[in-house]
Amino acid sequence: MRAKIVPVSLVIMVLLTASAWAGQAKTNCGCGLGTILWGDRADGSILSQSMQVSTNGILGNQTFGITSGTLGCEQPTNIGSDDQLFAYIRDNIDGLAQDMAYGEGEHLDTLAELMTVPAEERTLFAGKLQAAFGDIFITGTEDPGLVLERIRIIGG
Amino acid sequence: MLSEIGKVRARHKVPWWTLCLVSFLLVVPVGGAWAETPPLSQWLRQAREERFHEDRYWQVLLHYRQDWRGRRSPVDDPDFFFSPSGKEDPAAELEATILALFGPESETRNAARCRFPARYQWLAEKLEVAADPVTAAVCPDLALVLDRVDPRSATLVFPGSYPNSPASMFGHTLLNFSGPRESKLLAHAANYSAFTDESNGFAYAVKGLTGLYRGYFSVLPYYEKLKEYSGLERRDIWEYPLALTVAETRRMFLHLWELRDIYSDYFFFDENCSYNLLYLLEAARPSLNLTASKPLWVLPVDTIRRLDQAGLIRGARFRPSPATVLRQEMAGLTSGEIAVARDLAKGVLDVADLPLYVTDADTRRRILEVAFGATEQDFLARRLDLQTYRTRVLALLTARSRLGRGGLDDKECEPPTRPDHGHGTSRLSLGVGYFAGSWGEELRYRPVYHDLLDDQSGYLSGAQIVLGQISLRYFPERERLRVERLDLIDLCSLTPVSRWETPISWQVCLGMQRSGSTGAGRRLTAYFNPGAGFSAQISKLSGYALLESELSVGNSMEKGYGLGGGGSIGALLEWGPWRVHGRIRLLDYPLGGRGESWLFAFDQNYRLNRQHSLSCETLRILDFGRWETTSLLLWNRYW
Repeated sequence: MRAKIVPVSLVIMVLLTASAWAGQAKTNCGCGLGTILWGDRADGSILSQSMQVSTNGILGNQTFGITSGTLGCEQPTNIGSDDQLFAYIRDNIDGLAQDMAYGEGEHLDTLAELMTVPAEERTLFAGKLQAAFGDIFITGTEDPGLVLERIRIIGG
Repeated sequence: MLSEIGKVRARHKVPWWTLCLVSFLLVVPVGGAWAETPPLSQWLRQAREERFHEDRYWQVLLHYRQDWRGRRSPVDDPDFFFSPSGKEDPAAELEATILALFGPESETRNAARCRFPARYQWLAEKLEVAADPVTAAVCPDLALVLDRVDPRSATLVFPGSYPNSPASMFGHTLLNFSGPRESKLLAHAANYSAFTDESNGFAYAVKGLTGLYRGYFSVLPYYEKLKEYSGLERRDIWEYPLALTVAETRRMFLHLWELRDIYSDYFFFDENCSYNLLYLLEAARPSLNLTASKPLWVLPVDTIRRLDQAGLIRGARFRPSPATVLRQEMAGLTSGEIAVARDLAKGVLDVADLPLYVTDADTRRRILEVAFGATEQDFLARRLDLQTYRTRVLALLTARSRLGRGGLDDKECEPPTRPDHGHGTSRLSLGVGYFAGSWGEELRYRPVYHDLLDDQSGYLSGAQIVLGQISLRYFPERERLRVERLDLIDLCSLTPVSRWETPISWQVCLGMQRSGSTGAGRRLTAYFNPGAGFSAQISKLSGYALLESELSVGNSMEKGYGLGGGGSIGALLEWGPWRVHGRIRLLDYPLGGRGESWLFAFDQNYRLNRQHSLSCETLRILDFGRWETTSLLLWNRYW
């Protein structure tokens, strides 16, 4: 009995350590739900997470990113003065989808502010988007330009 | 006639003569224009005579700090200085800066002004360069950034710990710059961190501790940082609005701009994210003296305390992570409802069939929200691929959108204790005890951070991180003082399993401890003791079981080492200010001939207030074939 405990626990320790060290490469690109949640981060294993915390390291080399970018989901060149709104929708598509479905939330409030919806009309705005959620997100792969267009038509 | 000859002669001399004259004339008008404004040399003299380089703001902008070698700047990037000796010489750097900012060459002058706008603004004011205001510089890059960020107010952001990572209890700090907009998401976050693509955790830690990484400031939209810290890392975030004026905030941002692409060697313990943010705050208000007395380590939570003492913190807002929100939402559901939500999230139950199981619209709303949150967590933890995530989330959200708005109150949650209102991170303990047959006194010092028995307010529950704790014992009978133990690293993470997840609880201990048979004398033995297992929690009681292995090295063992394994079980109970921890451990060392070792421990801690607690530790161990009992009463002081 005693002879078994030791090797078993040692093997488990080794396996745990190995799995904690294993990393995964980043995979996000393109537009749509789920593409932006991972940002530029590598993986979520226990050890690499705690180590990254200890050194507060970040990946990539962007120092003054006033807006961020997602690979394969670039901004159209003719966006003009809407570039901030476009970038916001692109970078927060999941949070926006959630808030639209729930009918409220910080991401939605921010969208309303960026679209200069007056404060007293924001509840109405949120209600319209909630009611039309299924018409805004049909496949979940819509690019931000299309989402913005649909929001404009529905939100008025 | 003579003059005519002279003219003729003069004509003959044209080739070299006029060349000199023309070049002279070209220079003179420039010199004449200079004479109208105070010449460069006069400014340099003024700066020298009025000792500008000793001005507090100059010291702040260049980060000069007094140490045993004199005044030095910890910034390592040569691009931060105009003078080659700028790192050590504030006066030389000031002269070189004046030459660069006010020199004759307009292009280099403009570039220098755009690169270091805070230095330029200050010097222009000091030198009373009225005809040459800030706007004299044309800086399209800076103008764009100032237009976008429009810094008017600042907030200190503290992403706290995340589950199953005791090291994350150290936290991190960011500095948010907000413009006129209401939404907090549209702020820009300044972040000082080590830049690396390192994926090997060990190399990461070593380099981070020894300053082999370069630290840079970066600025990103706050929503990006939220995705990282709140979404991905599941950290709850505290936001502390700062009591700074618009002018101070703007000065701070201009200094941040000066630090763009400038590196300093990054040290995890002292020259870290939190310490470097203090420079920005000093640039906002030079009368603050936050960086002068640098301790051996700078903990993010201590910088919050320091800012609070300086009167800079206006309040605190809690921003729970989606994972925390999910936990709270789940707490409002019955176990049957959670099972339905789980089936939805796992794709076992079709969303369209939900009304067959649940008729009440409000319950359906909650179930769908829990299912959405769980699906998102699964995706973030890489348990779902993108395609599955999209399909599932779209179905859940579409169903949710048809149910209208929910009650507002169910989103509200009671914020926990502010991290800066928790116990101090250093601890000193004094106590008396009975140590295997003799009475003695114990002195224990723990520089950082938190253990399982300390008060949990403001800390991650079930997590322990102890670094460099030393215990000394004095035995009056034998008039002997000795080191009893040294806990170099003592990490423990007990994350309870839930219906959704079965996280691994683990521990890593490395240190030295006195052990050995009494006959051979108790000697210091080094040990390395990792373990892993599971824990469960019911209300205030949690229990755990871990498999452990241990390598010990020391003279007290026959072969000088012992390698073995075993396991431990334990329980933790919280009862108001009283915390109890009971633990049984069995280790067997088949290699090295140490034999079997049993340990029964029963520890208690009673919190008196934020600074003080009393604890009682009882230990019965079997080691080297002998049973020993130790009992200890301690008074703990936190600061």
